[in-house]
Amino acid sequence: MTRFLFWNLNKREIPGFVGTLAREVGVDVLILAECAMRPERVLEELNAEKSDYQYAWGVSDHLIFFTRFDSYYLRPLFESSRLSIRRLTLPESEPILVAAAHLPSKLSFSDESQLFESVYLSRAISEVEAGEGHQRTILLGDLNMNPFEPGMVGARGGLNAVMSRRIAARKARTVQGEKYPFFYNPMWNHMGDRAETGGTFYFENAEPVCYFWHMYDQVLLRPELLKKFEPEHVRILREVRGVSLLENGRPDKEMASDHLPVLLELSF
Amino acid sequence: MADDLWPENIAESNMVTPVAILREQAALLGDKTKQLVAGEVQTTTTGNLFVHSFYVAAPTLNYRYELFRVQHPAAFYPLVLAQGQSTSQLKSEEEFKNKLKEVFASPHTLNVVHSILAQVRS
Repeated sequence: MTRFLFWNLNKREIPGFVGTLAREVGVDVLILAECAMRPERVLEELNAEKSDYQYAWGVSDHLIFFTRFDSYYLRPLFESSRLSIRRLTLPESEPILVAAAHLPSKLSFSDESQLFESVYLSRAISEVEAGEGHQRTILLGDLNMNPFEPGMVGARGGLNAVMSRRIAARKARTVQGEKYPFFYNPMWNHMGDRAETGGTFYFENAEPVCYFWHMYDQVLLRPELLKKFEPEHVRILREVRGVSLLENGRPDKEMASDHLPVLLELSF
Repeated sequence: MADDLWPENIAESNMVTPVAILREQAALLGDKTKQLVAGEVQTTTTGNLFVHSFYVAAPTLNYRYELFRVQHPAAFYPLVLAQGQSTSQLKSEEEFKNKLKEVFASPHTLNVVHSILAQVRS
């Protein structure tokens, strides 16, 4: 079981939290967004007890990768400022694609502009998949959209990410005569009071429409990787070695980050 | 069916390759520096020779420095270790390991590793 962890750090300098969390959970691939710390600083904390982690070099400004595997196994295939698509090749396993993204915030991008970002992301993934000849792909990131938004759900350019595993198992759907591959979005299971928290990010304002909790940090999987996947293999983490990441039930941005980390355990 | 003229044990090999020794040492350097500075080995071939370059690398800076180069034919030994202008011919695994120990402890290697480490931390 390989453990992937994505965390938007909101530019907070919390190397101790990151190192402790990664070691405690046994993270194999760590992806950080909005990390204001230099990779060397994070690396020293990750390896404070044992030199397990390597920096996996890349050129994305918004995302940095560390891994317990040899970083050679996690090579970038396509990168832009806010996107990194990498091939993860582990011995005796078929290679998979690990895509990570940090899409622009709702503070700076309109809904329409976010939709275009989603189209860009979806196309970049499809092109890399075509080049690799398979669709064993996971996408992790702060997509700055909720799972129900058009850029997440829509086909014909969007991510085509559905809430139902059963529907995702159909692999693709046809719209206007053309086929579009599904992503399965397990984050739907983590919304509302039956989940660990209402989401990964909390924002309350005085507008008539206010969701309070948002599920901006998400993990999506292509149907090819669902065989050994169970719902409990995705978790939103709320504490690090007994220290809560929440204050009054919301992400504690003074203590850690305004986003909660998301963990994916995957067998492939 | 064609006669099989190969001996039964043709696919059995437990020999330790020079590159395996180099990779092991490369990994140990990373362990000692919290992976801030790591060893890297890159292999190429030329004619009937294998050529392994041993680098001291700073992954976070995407930088690497070739410390030495080892080349050998299919039979491993004797192999040639070349560092700068000097070359040594090593006739056995034991001689190879002793030479590596000497190279790693040399003032030049210490200076390279310490300088790169300082660069990473600055």
